[in-house]
Amino acid sequence: MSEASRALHEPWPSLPRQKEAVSFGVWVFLASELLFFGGLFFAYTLYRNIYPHGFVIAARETEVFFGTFNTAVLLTSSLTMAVAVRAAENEMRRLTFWCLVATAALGIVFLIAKGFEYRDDIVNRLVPGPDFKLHEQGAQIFWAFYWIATGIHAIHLTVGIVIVGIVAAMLHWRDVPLVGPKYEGVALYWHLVDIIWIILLPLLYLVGRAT
Amino acid sequence: MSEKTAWQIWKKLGAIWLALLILLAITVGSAYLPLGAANGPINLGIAAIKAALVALFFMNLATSTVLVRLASVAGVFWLVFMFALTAGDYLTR
Repeated sequence: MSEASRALHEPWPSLPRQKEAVSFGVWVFLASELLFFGGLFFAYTLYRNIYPHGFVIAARETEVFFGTFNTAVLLTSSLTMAVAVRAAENEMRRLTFWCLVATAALGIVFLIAKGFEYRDDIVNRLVPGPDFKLHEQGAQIFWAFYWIATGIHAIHLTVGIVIVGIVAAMLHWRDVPLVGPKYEGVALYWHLVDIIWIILLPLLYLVGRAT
Repeated sequence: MSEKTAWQIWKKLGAIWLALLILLAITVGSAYLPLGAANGPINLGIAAIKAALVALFFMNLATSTVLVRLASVAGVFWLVFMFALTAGDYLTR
């Protein structure tokens, strides 16, 4: 039984059609994700329009080092994810496996760095509430957005790490075919989580640094 | 699908990765330059370029079928409506 015929499932007549269906389905799901995060980003835009000064004061308190480091980590994880998909298409089992492992590992590195950053934020009294560090109007709203947006992003990334880990485990312990559409499906989700972070970087970390 | 060597895969995708890291360095660096009102648009513009690079070359939209490309813009399409209608309310009060 060939690799291609093992990867093909009902009801698709051919592997290219099955791959297209998976990409299509994942993109439809990603559209709902875009609308979800889009609403959040737009709320940020509106409040920044109402409290321009408060947002600048508040944004200066975020830690650029962690934001930049984590962006580089996620961009690199997207590279290893993309290489894993190409390697699978070319039936390179070892390269696919190790790139999936690297992707999940880089995701974990991101979460660990985020944890250290969260600790600093909490120590610096940047959690909205009665003890909040800043008194500028709108600063608490910025930090509420910070916690919600980065928190939801971290949940998405955690889900991604688990899925990538499962696919890597299946590849390692079971004789799953490399030519199927599952690698591309996982990769699309992973890259979208990366894109969300790419947009979060200027909104959270790069505001008000020059003044 | 033509057979490729591991090196060819790394070289092509690594070039995109390098471009993304250079853009990251530019955006973080320019954020510290006193460019006045230009800082915001520069940072958001670079973020848009980075997102486009990821979508085109890592998410393979550059080589996808028409159906998949259409599905990928569906989210952006509805976002435009959400932003336009909400802005029409909040920004005109």
